[in-house]
Amino acid sequence: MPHTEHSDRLLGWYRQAVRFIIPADCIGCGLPLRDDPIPFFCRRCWNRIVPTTGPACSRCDLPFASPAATSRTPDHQCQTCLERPPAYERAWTLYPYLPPLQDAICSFKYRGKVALAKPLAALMAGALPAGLDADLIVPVPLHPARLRAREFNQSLLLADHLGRLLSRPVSATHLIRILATDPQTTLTRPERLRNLRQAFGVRQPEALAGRRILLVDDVFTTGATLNECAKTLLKSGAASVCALTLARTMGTHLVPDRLFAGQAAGSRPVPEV
Amino acid sequence: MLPSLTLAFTVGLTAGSLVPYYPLTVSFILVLTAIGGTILEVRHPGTRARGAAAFGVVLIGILYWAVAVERAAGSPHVDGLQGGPESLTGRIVAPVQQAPDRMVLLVERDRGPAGRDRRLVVRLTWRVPERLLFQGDRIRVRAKLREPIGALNPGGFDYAAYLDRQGIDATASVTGADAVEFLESGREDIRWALWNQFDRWRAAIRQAAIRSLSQPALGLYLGVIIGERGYLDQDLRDQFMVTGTVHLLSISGSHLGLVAILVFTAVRRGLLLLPEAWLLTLSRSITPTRAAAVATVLPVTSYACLAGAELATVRSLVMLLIALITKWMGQEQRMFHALAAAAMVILLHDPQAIYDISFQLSFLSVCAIAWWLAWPVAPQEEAPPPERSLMRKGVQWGRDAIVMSAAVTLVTIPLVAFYFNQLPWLGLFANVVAVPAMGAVLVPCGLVAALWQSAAGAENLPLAGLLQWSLDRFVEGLSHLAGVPGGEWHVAAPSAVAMLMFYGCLAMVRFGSAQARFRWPAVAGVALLLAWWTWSPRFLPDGDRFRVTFLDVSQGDSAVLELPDGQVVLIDGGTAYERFDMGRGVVGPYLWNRGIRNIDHVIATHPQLDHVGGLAWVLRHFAVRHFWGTGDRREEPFFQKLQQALAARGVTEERARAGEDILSSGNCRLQVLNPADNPALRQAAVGRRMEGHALNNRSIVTELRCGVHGILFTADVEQETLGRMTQAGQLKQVDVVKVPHHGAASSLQRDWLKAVRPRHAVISVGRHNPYGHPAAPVLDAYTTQGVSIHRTDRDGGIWLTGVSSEAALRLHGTRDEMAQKVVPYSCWWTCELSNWRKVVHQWLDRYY
Ligand SMILES: [Zn+2]
Ligand SMILES: [Zn+2]
Repeated sequence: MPHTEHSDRLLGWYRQAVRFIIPADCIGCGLPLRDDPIPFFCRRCWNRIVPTTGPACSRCDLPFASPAATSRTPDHQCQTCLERPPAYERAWTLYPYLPPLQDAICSFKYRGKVALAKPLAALMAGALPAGLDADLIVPVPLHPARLRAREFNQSLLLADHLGRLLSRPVSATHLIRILATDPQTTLTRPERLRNLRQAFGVRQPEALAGRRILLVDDVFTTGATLNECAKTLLKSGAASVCALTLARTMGTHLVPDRLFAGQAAGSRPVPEV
Repeated sequence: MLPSLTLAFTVGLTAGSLVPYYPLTVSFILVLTAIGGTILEVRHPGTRARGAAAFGVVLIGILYWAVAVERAAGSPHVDGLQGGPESLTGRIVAPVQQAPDRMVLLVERDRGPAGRDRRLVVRLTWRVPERLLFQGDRIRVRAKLREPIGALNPGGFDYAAYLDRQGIDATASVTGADAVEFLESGREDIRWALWNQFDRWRAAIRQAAIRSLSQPALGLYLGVIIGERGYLDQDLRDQFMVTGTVHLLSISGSHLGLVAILVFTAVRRGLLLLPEAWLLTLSRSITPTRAAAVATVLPVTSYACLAGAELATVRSLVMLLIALITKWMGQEQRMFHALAAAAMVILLHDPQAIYDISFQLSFLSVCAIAWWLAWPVAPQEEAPPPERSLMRKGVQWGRDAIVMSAAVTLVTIPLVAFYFNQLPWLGLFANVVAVPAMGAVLVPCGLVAALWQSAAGAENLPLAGLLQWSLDRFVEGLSHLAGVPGGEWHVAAPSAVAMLMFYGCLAMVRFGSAQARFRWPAVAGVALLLAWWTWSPRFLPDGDRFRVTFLDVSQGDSAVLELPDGQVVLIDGGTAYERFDMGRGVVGPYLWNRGIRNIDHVIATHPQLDHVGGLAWVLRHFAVRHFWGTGDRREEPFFQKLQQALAARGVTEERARAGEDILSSGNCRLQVLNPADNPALRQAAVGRRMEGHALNNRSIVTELRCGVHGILFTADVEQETLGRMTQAGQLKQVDVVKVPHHGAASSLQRDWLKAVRPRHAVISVGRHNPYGHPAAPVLDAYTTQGVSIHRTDRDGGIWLTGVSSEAALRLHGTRDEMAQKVVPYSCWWTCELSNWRKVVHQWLDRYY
């Protein structure tokens, strides 16, 4: 569909009409939505979602607190990557995991608001790094039990939209989760690592042989899941594995002041999930 | 925004319906509102857009009423409705209503070849039908078309206006196998095929139910599963009314909601059980929740169509569809918006629905539920329920159920009291049990049986034994509950002003939480109004004033005497057919509206259906001290019913004899003038025809004397008795006479008329009665005597009020007391003023 101004206005009216009967409030600021194009978020809140910029680890994309770290050596790596290099070649963690993006991801994942998949994937596509080169997109899999509880795999939905935007094939069935693990968020780092060992497997490895794979997930927390997935994929014959996540959790000392200011302006406590 | 705009639109429609009667008042209020709003906006600039929008929508509502209702009704009614039988060819445009031995068809006449004829919808009753007909079928019938009529009484239900609102232009009835000629099945026409099919399914379920279930379970089953109330026992319906559970009889939220929840859950659970690979593939395009929401649309819509798509059903359907769309979008459910959207859909389709009982009750109940529940309603899957013991959960559930039931009962009390003269306080407790029993057992079992029957095309209803048993238990429980002493509590219909005050107070209780000083007076207001309605006192007895009302009971007699000392006398109770009992439909409501719950004397003038048919019901629902009769016996069922009612209430029939007083107190005296003990008359009872005359001639004639006033009630006496009374020389001049025998020629006695010299004559007669009452010579004779004639078929109920110590006697007819449309230009002021006078008079009349 050609994105003319005319059709945009028509769509805006349509959205406004639907929201007249079935109103919705912005998850970010609580104000009623009007003709805002993103479901569940007003334009103002959605525009507050901006990619992480500034110096970062050239391997795992961890932002550095001080710009001096990369001023002379552009491919400077963080301490963790230097000590225990991850299996993936490169990870891009595009946005800081902060409201309103955090609210959006939580609503998408935990409250079944699948309509957010498309705009979230568009966010990813809008911040793609220049060096990205892959011929197969693989989402981080969900254990069947979790899939039945959640009804969908959020990474798969993101990967599907991304695949369409990048015109790359998406594989949903080759990388699988064998072990059900506890929700990652409630565990400490060593526990997670122990937990994840042997959690993944590959079906029909011949399909992956020699492929340059892009792993897709929603949130990068410690990178352990992606690391484990990458290991499994490489073991099955993949040529290379890169990782792409929509968001990254980070300590407050790493958050640029600009974002902090924005968060304060949002003036809404992070919802409990 | 939507709820408030819908409210504004409803206000606009109401104002629009008042414009033809009170154009100046409505305009004045509108201008005043506009000025007030402008001043308010200047002070609070933030309210501008909302206020202007609401005002605009009110104006749109007024216009919409004018265009959609007034203009459509403006064309004159069909001419020649009073003519002889004519041939009518047309299509059945509504689901066929079935009852034992009859079906009611809504037939739209075929328009001329060029479609020039005006649309004409006829409500056709086919007695003893010989074949099934379905919606969409075309038929030809030869019948006499009549304009819709119904009893018209002070404060009573205006059936003719009700039919008019349904878009019915004429009524007709035919009997017997060959009366209706079937022309073409609705299946042939693409526009009707679907509706035809639904009607066929309904008929198949009905036939299977008739074969498998016995009454009263059958009527209840058809009522709660396919929304067909033709087989429902009248007494059972009364019990639903008394126990405040009558809402269960309409296919609405509880039914559709149940179907929706079952289908939704089944589809979602089913999809989640799929093998992992399939589920994963499916979830890439549609999640199980979304798929379930889509899958639920068709079953719910089909069920709504199968249930006949009545107002309450459509309301629930629209709300459910919106809920499903909301589910699809993953948004939070907003009950008020869904309710408002449903109201808009219905009102745009038919603005007159605002005056429909089921529209008002249905929307008010859901409003009450929505208000008292948390709003907006949180989606169920979220908020994980805190760990609780089963016991505490049960207590919590019971408390919620009672609170909700109380909220609905409270909010609907004024409407139920207004339309049904009842305070169904039992509903508080009955609903807590009846709603789950109906929703968790009867409806699911009944639906499964119906679905099974439809799918298998079975002759009999599956699960019939289980259904029969559980429905019987339900009916048993209901009748036990309805029999609770004081459970059936009847009240006078509240006035419109009092109802508005009640809802105003309720709104203040709910929304005035910020200001506690408004809240408690509002609670007190609600309590006072409730107490006042519950009490529903009588106002008349002051020792001097009396009132006599000749009720419009169609073809038949019924008069209510209210005497200065507070005594009440009922002379006859009109007729009673299987589906329409004048006692239930006219006499009872009139008495309740007057605040009367006890009757001192009931006089059954003579045992004929059109005089005593309605008395059986009256005896069963009012405390009667004395029952007067002639001692004649009949074999017919109506008389047996009367005897049973007397026996059940422990009342014995007292014989009235000429010369005796029925009552005598203060200035008033009610004396019997007939029957005299005349052995010759008693012997005359030979043959059936003679028997009728003999019964008429032996009927009880009474004369009321209150001070200077005299009113003569002549029942059905004929020339013979009139002559005897004249010769006996006991007749005195009277003010008002009830013309004997509905104005039949055989009851015209000029000597008698000269002897009583009435000033007014009241003829109690039904329109289009087959006997030709009143006869032209009778009307002539009275007119030449200079008597002014009042007829219940034209004037509706007629009442006269007087003071025993004064000569003045005032006579009123119901039709004259109804507001008339203002004639533009020629009588703006006077007409509107006269309408206001009538309103005030109607209101004051309750206290007279
Ligand atoms: Zn916002
Ligand atoms: Zn690193």
